[in-house]
Amino acid sequence: MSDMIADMVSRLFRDHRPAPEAVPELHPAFWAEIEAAGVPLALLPEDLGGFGLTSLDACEILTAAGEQAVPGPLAETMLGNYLLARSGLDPVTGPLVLTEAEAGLACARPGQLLAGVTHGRDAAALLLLGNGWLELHGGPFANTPGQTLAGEPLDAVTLGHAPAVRAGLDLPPLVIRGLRAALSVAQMAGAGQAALDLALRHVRDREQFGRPLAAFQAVQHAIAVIASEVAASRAAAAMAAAAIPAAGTDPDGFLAVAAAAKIRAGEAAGKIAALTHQVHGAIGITREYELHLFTRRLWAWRDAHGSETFWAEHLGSRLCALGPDALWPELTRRIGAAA
Amino acid sequence: MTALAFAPAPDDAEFAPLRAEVRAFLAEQHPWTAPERARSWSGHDPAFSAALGQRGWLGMTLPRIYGGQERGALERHVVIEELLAAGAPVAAHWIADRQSAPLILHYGSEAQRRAILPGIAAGRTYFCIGMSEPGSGSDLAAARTRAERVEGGYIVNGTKLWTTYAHKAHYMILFCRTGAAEDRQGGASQLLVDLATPGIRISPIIDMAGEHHFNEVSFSDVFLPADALIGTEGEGWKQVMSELAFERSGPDRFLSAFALITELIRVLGATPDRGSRRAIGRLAAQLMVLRHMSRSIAGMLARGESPALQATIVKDLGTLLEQEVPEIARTLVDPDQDPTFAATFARVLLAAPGFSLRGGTREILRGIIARGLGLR
Repeated sequence: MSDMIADMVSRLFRDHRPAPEAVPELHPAFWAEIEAAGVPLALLPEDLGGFGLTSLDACEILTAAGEQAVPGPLAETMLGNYLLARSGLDPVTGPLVLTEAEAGLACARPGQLLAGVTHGRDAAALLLLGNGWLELHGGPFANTPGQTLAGEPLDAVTLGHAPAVRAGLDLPPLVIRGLRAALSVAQMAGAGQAALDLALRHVRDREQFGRPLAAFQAVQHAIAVIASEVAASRAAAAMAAAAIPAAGTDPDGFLAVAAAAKIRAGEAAGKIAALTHQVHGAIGITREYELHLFTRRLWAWRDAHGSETFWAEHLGSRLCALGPDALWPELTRRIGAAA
Repeated sequence: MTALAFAPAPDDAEFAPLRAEVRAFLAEQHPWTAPERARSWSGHDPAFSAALGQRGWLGMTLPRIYGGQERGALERHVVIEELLAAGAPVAAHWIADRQSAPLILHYGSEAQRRAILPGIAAGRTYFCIGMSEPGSGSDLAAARTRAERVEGGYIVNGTKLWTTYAHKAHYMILFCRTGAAEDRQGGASQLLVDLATPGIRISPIIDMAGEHHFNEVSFSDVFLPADALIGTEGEGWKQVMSELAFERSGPDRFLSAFALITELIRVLGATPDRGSRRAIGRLAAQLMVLRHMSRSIAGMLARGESPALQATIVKDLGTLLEQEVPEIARTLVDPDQDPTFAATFARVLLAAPGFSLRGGTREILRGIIARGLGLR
């Protein structure tokens, strides 16, 4: 990504880092800036109306957002617009939220209640993703608020009675889930980085026994472990991001990479959260201190769009079925290339 | 943000033919059993090393005038990861190719380069490492082996320890003191030692698996000519740190237990229970991300960057995984149920404690990472 875009979105997100005590709230002015920066179209290839960012660039934007715990359905809007474009529809203006239709559903009923919609209350439009189809529903929606364990909106949304725009969708539900997982890994990499940065600041500033915590070898080694897990998490994000363009052409390959990334990032999330809390001591578990902005998101995101367990079963089933001689060729397979 | 960036791993599409070539070559070799594959880079086979040299797969990044192929770090990465995944017996040339050749290329004299590098690239000249000593393991700066300046060269006295395959190597790169004894990091130098030189005694140390890899190498009044000096006298600390960066940067730091993972899949069969499938999926995920990180490092090396800190992280994460593999394997398969699995398991388990010792202990690596983050 050009440094100019990177600097611009980083500054934008930094300016909208929420206060640790605040209830997350998406301000229209912030969203207007996000749209002005082109973030909602970041995943679109140029031939579908995007402006030439790679999938890696788009995921780096999400990492920068994760690093500041900014509110709003950024990943959902990015992916939703990408799916709309794939299906031959125009991208939408405003925050877009996604819901995966329950298996067997052929279309939404007017007035249908959809539970568990991330950022539901912020939605200008809702994209319902079925098996082979999608439906774009315009707002406003009746909304029953709920929240994730990170305090992010997880709402029940009631559809209106206006007809939806329908189109075919060429990606199966599991690939959609893989795409959502890949984007959440990008966000997790940012949250992990932010937790590491807070821990580094704390161990330098905080003194006990007459010296900074950073002077204790046990603390140094804990920080080294955190930093290594953050590095793994960032690598997982980059690996998954690079595979996104192959989601349609090589779904098995893409899913293997997305699964591996989500498994590794999920595992890193648990370790990063536990150790950053440990080195912070009691201040880290207060509402007034920022650490929970990131550790609670790590805990919530590692379970969203398939936990480590879900994806490990997917990946392991595939590798066992292929057998021992296929393991190395699979691990080294270039995604998008023929097997 | 902290300075631990891993650049995205470069696309290796252009090296697909090379990978296919290496695989075809490996498929032609005598098929190694799983316990043999588990020896990984401990298997010593000079004929195999020479065959690799003949194909241009050793010293790949060296200039042609020194017998190399002038290929990139990414191409070398393709070759070595294929060799390791196949469990090929690469020990004979491994140290020479991995760290001695780049060190000599970087710091050696023109005469040393011309004398040594072609043999390494041909797979016929083997090296051992001259760092650890009886009183100086992780604390490398405490090394006491000393080279005194004399007419025409040096007289060396001291003892090196844990010297892998010294008994089958031609040369050692000796890290020793040449300056004031109280000067910990200054006053050290590196010398190129022909192990056939009189006064060198190589004694075996048998490991707990009953194998002979380690040696004690003692020097008593060993005369080395002045032109044995590698690089600059007194700059040995800086040089040995760059040698260690080469030692830590490769996929040999997370593939040591790979043979046991494939054995596990073989014994579990195509449709094992859910817990087993999850365990295999998790191990594969770890490997895929580590490989991505390792390729990222190769990409940084190819661009002339020095990703020493990133290499340290991959080694720490990689050895954690390698050591976890036998522990996970035994929860999924009873080693007694299959003799080949049992032998592979035993080999990896007995080697596992060494994974986080060789090339810098876990504690040393974490100290380096903490220093990289500005905590020390």
